Amino acid sequence: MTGVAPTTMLDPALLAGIGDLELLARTVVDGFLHGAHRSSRAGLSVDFAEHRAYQPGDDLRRIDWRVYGRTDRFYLKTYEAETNADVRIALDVSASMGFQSGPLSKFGWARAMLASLAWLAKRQGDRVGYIPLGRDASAIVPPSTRHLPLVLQALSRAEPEGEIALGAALERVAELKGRAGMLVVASDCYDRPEAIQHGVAALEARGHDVMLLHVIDPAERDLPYEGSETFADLETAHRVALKPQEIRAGYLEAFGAHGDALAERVGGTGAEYLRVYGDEPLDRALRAWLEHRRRPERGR
Amino acid sequence: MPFAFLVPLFLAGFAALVIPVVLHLRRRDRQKPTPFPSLMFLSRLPTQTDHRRRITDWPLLLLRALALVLLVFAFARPYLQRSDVTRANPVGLTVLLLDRSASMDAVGVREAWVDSARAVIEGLPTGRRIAIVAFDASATVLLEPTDDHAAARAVIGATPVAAGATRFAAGLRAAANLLAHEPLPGDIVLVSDLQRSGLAATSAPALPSGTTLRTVAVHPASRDNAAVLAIEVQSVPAEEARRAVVAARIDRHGGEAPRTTEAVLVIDGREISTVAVILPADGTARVVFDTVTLARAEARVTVRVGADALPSDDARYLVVPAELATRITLVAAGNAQPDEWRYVEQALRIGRDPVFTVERVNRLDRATIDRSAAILLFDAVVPEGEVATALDAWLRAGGGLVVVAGERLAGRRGELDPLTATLRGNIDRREGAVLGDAETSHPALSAFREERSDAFAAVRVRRHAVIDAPGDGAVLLRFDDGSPALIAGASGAGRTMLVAIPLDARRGDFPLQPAFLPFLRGVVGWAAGHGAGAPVQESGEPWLAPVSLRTPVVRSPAGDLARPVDATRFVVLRDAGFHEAFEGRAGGLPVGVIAVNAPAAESDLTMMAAEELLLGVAELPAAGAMSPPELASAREARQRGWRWLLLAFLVVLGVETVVASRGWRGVAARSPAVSSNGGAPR
Repeated sequence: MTGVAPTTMLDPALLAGIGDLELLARTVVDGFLHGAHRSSRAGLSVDFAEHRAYQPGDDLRRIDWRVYGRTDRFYLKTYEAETNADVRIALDVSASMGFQSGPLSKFGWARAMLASLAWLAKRQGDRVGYIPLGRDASAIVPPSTRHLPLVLQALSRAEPEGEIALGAALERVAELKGRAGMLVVASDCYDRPEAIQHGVAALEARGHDVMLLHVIDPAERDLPYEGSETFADLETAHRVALKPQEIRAGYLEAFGAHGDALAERVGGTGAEYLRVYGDEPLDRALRAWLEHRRRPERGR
Repeated sequence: MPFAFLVPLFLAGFAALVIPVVLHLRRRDRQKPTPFPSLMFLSRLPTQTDHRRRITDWPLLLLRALALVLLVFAFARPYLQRSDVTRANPVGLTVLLLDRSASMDAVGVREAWVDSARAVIEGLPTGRRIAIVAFDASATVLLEPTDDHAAARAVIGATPVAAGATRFAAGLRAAANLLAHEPLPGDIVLVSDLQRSGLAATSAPALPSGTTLRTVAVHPASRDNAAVLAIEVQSVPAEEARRAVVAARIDRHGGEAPRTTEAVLVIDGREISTVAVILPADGTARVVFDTVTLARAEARVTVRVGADALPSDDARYLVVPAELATRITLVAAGNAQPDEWRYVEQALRIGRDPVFTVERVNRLDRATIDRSAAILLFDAVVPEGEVATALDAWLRAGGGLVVVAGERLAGRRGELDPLTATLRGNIDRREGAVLGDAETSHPALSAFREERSDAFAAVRVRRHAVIDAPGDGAVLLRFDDGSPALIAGASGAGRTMLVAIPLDARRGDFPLQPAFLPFLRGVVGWAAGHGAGAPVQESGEPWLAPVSLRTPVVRSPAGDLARPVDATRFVVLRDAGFHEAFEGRAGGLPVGVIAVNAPAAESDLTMMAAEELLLGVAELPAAGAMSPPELASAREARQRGWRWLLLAFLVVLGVETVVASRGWRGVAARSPAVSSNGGAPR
């Protein structure tokens, strides 16, 4: 990569040419970290936060024996941030994610983003896992420090197909067993904002720290069509014939209102909502995740 | 001039006009829809439903609809209707139907016939239209409908009497065709001798409703008519010369008492013998002439009786071929024992119809081939080299070859030229193979057609040759295991027959069975060309020239030349007598002589009542319901509208293409094609 500015590797046009997801993720993360002049351990903290009572299932090694000596009760020490938090990435694999007007589809963009994020999390010592938001639940990869290859493999195999309701899918994720942790969801959010809000709220209630990436294709953002068009829904195959120039204003207004409603409702649950576009580099989303990662752990 | 459609069913295609309208309403002006992630927002927008059911591109829709209309009209084949015949031809038509059969040549009839026909024309009112049709076995329109009576009289004078048989149906059918196109009912005036025999053989015609049929009978001076109806020539065994006995059958129609006449035998133009013969009233006499010496070459034999009511049947003509007996060459292998071929030779020598002259040789040569009517290779090897070439040429020119595959020939195995069959050796059938599946419809096995029981069932074969039949060969007989026993084939104009049945008594008992004699004579006779049987050539009938004549020319007894009709090989021979066939031009020695005789039925001058003629005559729809015949070119001109419509369709299609690909429509059409993964918009 000599002679090429590392940050350019975050450009979707370049990422589209990299078939190996591991290589892509590593390239992105290296480029991102190099460009950001940050340590690979950035965001980690070992600062003591508080003691909490022992609960069955907690690691005995984490019991503060001094406190036990003093109080004859079991307490665990917690810190500002866990060095090996569970980071789950969830990818919307519905057919609508396959839409593509530029060099990279929404699905391709989101997959690259999540792979990079998994790689970054692994470098920070986190356990990474993967949850596909679709019909096939067998591809779920539980979080582990050794599961990065499985996560990348599952991401590579994923194909956008079928139809899902995002809100309901998130509620199903909330029902999954396992320790709560960080959950990054990449989706085009074609569902009612209320339904998505319910899903995110269920995750938050389960203790997950949710970050929702709303992936938008430039054509969805701008509706740049002219003349007479018959549009076909990628998920339902329904068709509608219209002249885009006549309805563009109305569409953009409705689309924007949808985004705003999501931001308001999802943000209201305590989760983070981030609108990302398929024609922009990945670093904004990565940076947002790192900042999100630095936030004090809540509820632990 | 109004127009109509040849195929109005295609007008249903107008229903297809719905297609462009639907297409426009559905706005399917692009080949594929544009994929979009979700119609969650688009389908909620109110404006799209307003546009959905509104036609936005009227010019393009009209162009496409016009193209469809033109196409539908073109397929429906519009044509201009003809002008009303009724207005054009308000005057009725009389069809003068003239019998020109051989019987009209009877004494006194010809003159009466002409006078009667002229009288009919004279009797027509001025302005009455007339058409003239002459007929014997077939009909010819001599004069198309006209009001020119002088032209009609001229036609009558120039009409020759033909020599064909009388067929009233042929004449009435031609007259009916003319009258069918008339707006007013017409009439037919038949001038004929009303010979009863003219009613036979064909179905009654149908006449247009309202047509009147009037007959003008022309009687011969006498009905007493004798005719020579058959000549038989029997060869007489003689050492030095070719001698034969000639006999003739003479029929007499009419008369009240026996009468005596003279029968004269004429051979090659020379009167050879005259015999007095007594002819009974309405009876038959047979006359046998003295034994005569015939030339080695082809002989022209004529038997003539004294002139009577109908001169044309007073003579009978016959061409006697150069050899009365059919020469068969029996080729036996040099080492063949007499008991192998003896049965075959004896069977061929027995019998009279046909008479075979058998010449047995061990080896073929060119001279032997050329003088053979058929060659029988009795288990002998097919010759090679120059003789094989000569044999092949002789066969293709019309010769007949019979190959009997026995122990020696089948044992050689392999291809058998020129029969293209394959020999597979011999097979032992100790239990005795039986013959079956006889194709008795074939002339070679015609002798077994009337057999109620299977004539071959008694035959037992203990060892026979195994043969693969060629693709074009016909298996006429099989062994009980399905393998071919007798295969008929063709080579050019020649005939071939391959026999796998042993024809000796060593390997089976076929020669000892009753079926052997008719089988062998039938097979060899067919190969020698007897199977088809020589047709009786009657005057007025077409003669089929043999394929050996590339450009046949026939010279009639009167010296007139005739060539095949159109592209066929048929030459119509009208006169009785000897016709000579030539190759290319009529000169030198003829390559063939055809004896043509007056139709036998014409000899009976018995008349019938005019009413009998109408028996069975059907009625066509009212006259005027059909249009007169029209020239093909005129009909084509009235129907060629579809071409212009198709041309206009193509022009409109071109305009549509230009309109649809220019301006904003072109921009819309060039929108990017999309895949299932989506597509890049402009």
